[in-house]
Amino acid sequence: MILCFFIINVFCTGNTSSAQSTKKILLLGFDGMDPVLLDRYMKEDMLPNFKLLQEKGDFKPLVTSMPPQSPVAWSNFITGMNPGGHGIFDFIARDPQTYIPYLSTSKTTEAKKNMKIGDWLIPFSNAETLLLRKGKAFWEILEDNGIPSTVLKIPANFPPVSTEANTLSGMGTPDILGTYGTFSFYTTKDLEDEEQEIESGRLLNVKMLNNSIKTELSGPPNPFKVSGKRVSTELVIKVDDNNPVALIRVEDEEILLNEGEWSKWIKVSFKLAPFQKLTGICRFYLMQVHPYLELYVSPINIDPINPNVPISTPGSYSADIADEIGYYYTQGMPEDTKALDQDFINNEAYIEQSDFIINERQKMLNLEMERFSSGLLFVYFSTTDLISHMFWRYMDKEHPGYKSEEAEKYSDVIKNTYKKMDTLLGNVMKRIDNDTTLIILSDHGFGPFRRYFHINRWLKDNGYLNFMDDSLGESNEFFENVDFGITKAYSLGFNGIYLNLFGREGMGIVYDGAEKEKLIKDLISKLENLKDPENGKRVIKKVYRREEIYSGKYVQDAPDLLIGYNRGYRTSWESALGKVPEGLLGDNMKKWSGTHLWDYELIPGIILSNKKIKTLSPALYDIAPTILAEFGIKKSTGMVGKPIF
Amino acid sequence: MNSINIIFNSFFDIFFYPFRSVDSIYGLCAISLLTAIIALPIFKYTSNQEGIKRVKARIMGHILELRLFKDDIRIILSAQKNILKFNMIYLRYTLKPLMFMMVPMVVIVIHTALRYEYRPLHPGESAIVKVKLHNPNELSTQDREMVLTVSEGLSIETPPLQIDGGKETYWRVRAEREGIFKLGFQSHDMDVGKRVLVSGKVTRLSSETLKSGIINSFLNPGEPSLPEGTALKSVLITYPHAKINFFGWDIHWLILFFIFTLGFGFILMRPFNVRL
Repeated sequence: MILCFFIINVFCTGNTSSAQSTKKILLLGFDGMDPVLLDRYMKEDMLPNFKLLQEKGDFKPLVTSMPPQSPVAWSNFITGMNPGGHGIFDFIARDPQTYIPYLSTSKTTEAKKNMKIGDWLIPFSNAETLLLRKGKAFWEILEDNGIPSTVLKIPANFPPVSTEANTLSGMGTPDILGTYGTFSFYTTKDLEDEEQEIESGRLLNVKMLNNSIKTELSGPPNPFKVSGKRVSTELVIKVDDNNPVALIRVEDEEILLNEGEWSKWIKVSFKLAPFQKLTGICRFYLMQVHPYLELYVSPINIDPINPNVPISTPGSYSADIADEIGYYYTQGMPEDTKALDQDFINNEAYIEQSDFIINERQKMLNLEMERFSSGLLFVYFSTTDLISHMFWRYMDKEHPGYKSEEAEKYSDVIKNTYKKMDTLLGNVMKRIDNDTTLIILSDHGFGPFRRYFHINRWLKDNGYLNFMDDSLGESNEFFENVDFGITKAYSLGFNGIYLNLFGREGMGIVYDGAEKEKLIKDLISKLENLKDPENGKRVIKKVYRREEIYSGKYVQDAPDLLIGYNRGYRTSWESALGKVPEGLLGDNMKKWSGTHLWDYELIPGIILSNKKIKTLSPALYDIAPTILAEFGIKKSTGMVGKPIF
Repeated sequence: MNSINIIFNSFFDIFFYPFRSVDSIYGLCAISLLTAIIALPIFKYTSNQEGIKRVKARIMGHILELRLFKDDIRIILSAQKNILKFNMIYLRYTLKPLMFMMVPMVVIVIHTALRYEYRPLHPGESAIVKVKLHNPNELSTQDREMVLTVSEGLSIETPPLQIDGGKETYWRVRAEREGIFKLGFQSHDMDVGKRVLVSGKVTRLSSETLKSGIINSFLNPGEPSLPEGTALKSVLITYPHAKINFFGWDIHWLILFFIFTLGFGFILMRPFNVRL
């Protein structure tokens, strides 16, 4: 009887050995950490802990995804598949019927059944947010085999896939407005309009009366109102006549800020309906008090204690973390690059915000390391990526945005971030035991973004894309002036070209077969030979057919061609959203000056481990099979990677 | 009033002393037990125990009537009317003892609030200091311009922010280390002080100090009132709210205090031979 019970237990659960194992894998994801920079700083003896890890184990470049974009790359990591298997091909995807772009990793559907009573709307079903990444995540497979895991802030996992593992969603998690981050900026400086929509933010012109400003913090449209009017909460700002200090009052909370200072997290709530409240958290940065007030308010993040959409598994996990470490950024990409790009915060504020985010993640890591006795722990750090995007121009003398006087002050910002990660790594290495496999990895490397390429303009100039009204000279976002009835190819997202295929696209005109083949050959040949008239350099290193680099169930959803840009070049912001502006190539003068949207072979990530890496050229999709192999689990069907140890 | 406060403060300081370093639940349990022990005899000797016994028996009788004659609508309606009537009589009987019990209860609640409403600052934390002037228009500019001084262990993080024509002045101070520190408010002819507590323990702390007066002193006994003749109306330190975790729920101390007191009351009513 006992023997029967034992046999049934072993065969039915299949997890006796692994569940009781003390084997541990600790993975730290440093987004965008570059192998060339890392190697350079290690050689300069700036990163003693990275160097020690290399000496004890190994350090190699890590082959990234094509395209080398974070949602794509981290999906490779999560599933052990290439994009053909997990279905994420870019930050941006499109509806082939309407050509309208949407963010590739998640989609929200409205509540299906509502009842209207006057201005009130009573929903009978919930709005749903769906994760669009396909393929099984490695922690789901671990769970099936009884291995506990904790996965913190991993990109491309919003809403978090249903699991018993502790997970907290990362990149892709929206703010309370449902956007990827909309900040507010209040100023008493006279502006043309009372309120202006700016890129990823709102600019509000407020009036001061007796040193006091009464205004509002705006929330999302009220889902219980037919009118969909935005909910708001009162915001009062009081300033001193002489001193550079301001008092900010939100509901019952008062904070006193010096000029050039960040506030702590402030909880804000919005009344939706009787007994229905929506809460969020935000931080303030007081840019200036005199001669006119300038106050930045961060995007209102989802309240981790009372989230309005799922951001963790189990649902209470986000609150458990907040109970231990206090409020933290729940927004997917918290560093406010858009505010810095448009001068609504300055470099100092941005660097301070980045440090704050590193500290938050470090607290999460410390908290989970205390509880870590077996299984897998993964913590993701975004700052290495976003600080490289924003501060590359200060260490690249060839960058058009390079200014020597500012470079003196900021050329070491990226290096200093690497040093902070080194200190963090040192603390981790001190705390791990011999049963722990430590892996540090990044999803891609980094390089300069010196020149932008209006790829849709190139398609237009070469007759592949045509306008409805040529006299306008250009087209706005979402192909507003593009005539798809006479367009053969269009570009959307940062690395993709779609053919306007008959039967697939809403107004497709290109027939499958010889016509398609000829079009592809023409495009590849012309794009690969395209030279920058400014300097004679090739803009594009290689153009890939999707079948050449992808395998799996979702290849048919991929762009037909993938552009592998050469060093220094990238698709323009405008082209990514289906705009066709004037001009073909231009100097990138934005603060967003670093990039990784090149050909994947030019921009590998990093992998370091305390174990020797046997594979000659490890790739991101090898990591999931490696994790499984470490726990004695075979890789699952569809995984293209192989264990690296 | 300050002398009475000193006596009460000393008593409650001694009472809560064993609970200063343990979870707040223990201190709340202890004060709830004390409250029940004080309240039960008061209730016993100031209430009409016989009347309560009688009226409760009548209510019980009518409840039985409801169950027995559930098919007879006339009896049900009559029983419900009587239950309501005797409940009112019961409430009348409890009104008098409640009035007597209120006096010690208010004192206990005020002194418990001094310990469990807010918590002291932790090292590294900041707090807003808010000073209100009584009538700034009657003061000279020199008097309105106040200087804040802090003892070692605290630092001032912001310059003063004056609003509403000098009626209110704000600063932000930061706790550097544990201890009891002093804030000093000085102007042309004024020098007033207030304590700031930086500690990880449960301790008596006064968030707001008001101008002297019997009611002010009674309601804010944590620290002596502001001296007579000062231009200050109040001094406030925004200590963080204390969080009390009860089986994973953050519950306000007052709710727990009433639940615990009622619980102890019901447990002890038999030994104290009290009919509630």
